[in-house]
Amino acid sequence: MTYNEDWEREARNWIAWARAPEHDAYWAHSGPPLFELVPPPGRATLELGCGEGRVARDLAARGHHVTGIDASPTLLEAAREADPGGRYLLADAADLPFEDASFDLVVAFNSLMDIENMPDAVADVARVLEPGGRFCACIVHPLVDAGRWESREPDAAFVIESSYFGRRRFEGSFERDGLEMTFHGWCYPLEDYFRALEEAGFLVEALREPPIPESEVGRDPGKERWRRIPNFLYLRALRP
Amino acid sequence: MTLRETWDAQAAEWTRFARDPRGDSWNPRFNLPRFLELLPPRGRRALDLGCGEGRLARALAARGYAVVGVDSSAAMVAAASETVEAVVADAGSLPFDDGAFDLVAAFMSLHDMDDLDNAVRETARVLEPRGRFCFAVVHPFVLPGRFESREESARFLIRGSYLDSHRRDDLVERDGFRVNFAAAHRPIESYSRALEQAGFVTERLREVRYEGDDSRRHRVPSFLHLRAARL
Repeated sequence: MTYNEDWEREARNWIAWARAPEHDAYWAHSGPPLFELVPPPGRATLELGCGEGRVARDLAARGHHVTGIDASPTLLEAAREADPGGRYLLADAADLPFEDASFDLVVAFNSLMDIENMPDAVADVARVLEPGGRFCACIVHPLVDAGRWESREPDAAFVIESSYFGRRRFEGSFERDGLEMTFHGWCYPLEDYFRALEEAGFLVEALREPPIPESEVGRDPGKERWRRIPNFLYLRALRP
Repeated sequence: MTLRETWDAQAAEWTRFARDPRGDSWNPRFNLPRFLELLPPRGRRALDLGCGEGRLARALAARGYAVVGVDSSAAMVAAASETVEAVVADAGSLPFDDGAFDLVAAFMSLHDMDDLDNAVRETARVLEPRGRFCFAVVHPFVLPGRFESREESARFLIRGSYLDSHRRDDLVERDGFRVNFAAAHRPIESYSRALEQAGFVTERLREVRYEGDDSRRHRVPSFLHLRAARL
């Protein structure tokens, strides 16, 4: 299999970024809606693109029997160190090393955008799910991927200058509170995710576009604009 | 004024606009053809929900569907009845038996209804199990925004809120027509929740791109099409 070189290169930055409490959106904004959408723990849960493992650990704390896969050896090593009893495997999301119908739940938290071939990964998710199984995904909202804010003001315009359509490469570097992180991935219109799900035989049960919580705006009034445009989009799909 | 009252009051003008190629060009040129591709093949009986002056019902009838239209506006239904079967009723209280249809199609009408949740719940009731609900709306990503100019490179700006549902009034005056494209902006999650509550799952979602000479509009989606199945 091929490693994800972008994530392997950024692995040390990401481990520090993801593990600093309250540092990024996961803690108060993007994480909680995921756990509202996932079904109760069942037989076996797969996390696609587990990285250093924080979502897998939080699923396990809620009673899920989790297997995490990732394409970065350094991130997997960190995941195993933080959860020595857990099951973390180096694997390609589009060529999963599992039998058909091995899981009743697959979770992909902000990872579908980082996979070279998203539709093939979604098709393989359908293969490893048992009939009646669920696939829960969080992605960066496709509207947000297509544009940018004109400023940090609460009433700032959201601006689309180039095209919403097509598969586009994403690269963004961020520096916050002494930590640095560069994200690489792809942006897709919403239809591309739905087409991948449809072609894999999924039926979409739920779609969520939560605003940033009031509490986060209280901590940083510069985030008020995220009450108007959602940063993340969540889907829960059923494999019939 | 409710959306229902706004559309009822301009039924005659809307009928003139919808039936004149100098009026409505987008729907016949690309939105309606793409929507027809989304529909299941003709079956037992189809309902055109929010039929207006009847453009979708006519297209369905021409393709062999057994179709009846329903609209809350008596003036719209009178216009539709010139060519197709149509009845006056509120989408939230449909005068049909449970399971009376195997297809409900709402073409550019859900965002003109004041009460989405009840309309979708009634749609589920009049559909037989495994029946399909197909709808087209102005894409919710673009309804709350606008291009800042008519330049080809014009930026598309959203100054208000995508997440908060709100009414939009867009008065179009050109070529002797005067239509207020009044609509309820709702984020996609509102459509999803209405479908979930009524027992639908989504099979297909399409983001329809404008086809024409205004190149600004090639960069943003114009319409959202969705096909759901009643469990």
